[in-house]
Amino acid sequence: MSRRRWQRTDGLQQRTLGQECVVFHPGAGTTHLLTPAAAALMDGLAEGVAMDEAALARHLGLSEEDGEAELRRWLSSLQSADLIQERP
Amino acid sequence: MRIADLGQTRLQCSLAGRGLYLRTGPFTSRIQSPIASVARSIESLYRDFEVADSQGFYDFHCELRAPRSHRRFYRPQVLFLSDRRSVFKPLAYHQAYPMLEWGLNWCIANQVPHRLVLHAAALERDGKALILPAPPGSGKSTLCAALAHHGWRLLTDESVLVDLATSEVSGPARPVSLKNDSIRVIRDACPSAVLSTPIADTLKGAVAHMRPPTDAVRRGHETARPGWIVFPRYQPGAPTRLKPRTAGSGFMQLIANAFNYAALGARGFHSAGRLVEQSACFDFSYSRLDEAIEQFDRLADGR
Repeated sequence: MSRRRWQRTDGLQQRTLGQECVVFHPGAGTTHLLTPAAAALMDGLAEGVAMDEAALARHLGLSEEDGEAELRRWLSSLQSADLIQERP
Repeated sequence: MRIADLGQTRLQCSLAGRGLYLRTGPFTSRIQSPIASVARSIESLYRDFEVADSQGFYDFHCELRAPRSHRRFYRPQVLFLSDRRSVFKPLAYHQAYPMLEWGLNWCIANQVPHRLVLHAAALERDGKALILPAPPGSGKSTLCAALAHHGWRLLTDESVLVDLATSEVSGPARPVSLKNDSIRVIRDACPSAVLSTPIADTLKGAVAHMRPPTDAVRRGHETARPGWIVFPRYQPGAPTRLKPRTAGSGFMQLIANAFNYAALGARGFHSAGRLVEQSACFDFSYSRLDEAIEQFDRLADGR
């Protein structure tokens, strides 16, 4: 699994509604409804703390062998919504 | 003092002069117009509303008058001005009163910075708010008018006001706008309802307004706590069906029906979030009004 590191975008507002989660991006003025998996991933990223993909996979209970593609898909959609950013 | 106490002559003088200061829920509107049909409709439909102090503060300044052009004489028209600025294209002169209602809706949608404003109808029962967010043509005003005459207190048929700190719900309890077939439907379903004479050929077809029940106007200052958020849809021939909706998708649909969500930023997000957390969300499809009323009675009674 890649050692790329990810961090939550600063200033996001998040609320849990039942089994779901909504996130407001104040900079973009956008609101997103997250799937439970994406919400769990966001929960793993505390503000100001970068995590690598292996740690995120562990947080989500994904195996290193089978979970990489799934994790990549979730990271990609969160990145395209500017909810997370890659950190060097 | 209420509109009914003012009398026709004083009402017309106020409207044609410095303006009528009309209190609707939390708002005071200063309305000026020399047009007789506007005065007649206000006298009938706003009978129970309070007249505010004409020296006091007002939230909206609305004026309805003919344009200062040859159109005063040839196919006369009417303009709606908010703070002395024309905000709509002129309409045919006989549409002056519906234009006032649409103009007041516009003022609430665009000039209220201290509440989340939803494009929705709302009613109250036992202190709990039933919010019906929907785009035009979904049957929300018809449903709202019927429920307002069957045990629910009218809060609004158009502009739900959500307190940013508490998410308590209120509305201006103004006349309910009915269009086309729904005018006949409400006449049949609610024989005690007072409706204005329909005005044909507006942009929305034939339009009439229903006077809000007296109790709803007198209790216009009372807020309601969040109860139910129901997304209604009238479909000819459809069975009556109330289907639970998840809170997350209810939230997204709710904010799609908010006028000022984007302008409020994080305050709007958390206000809408609190509202959804405290409410049960449903989708509702119907074609029969009697069955719809029964369904909402069951909902209120927890059956």
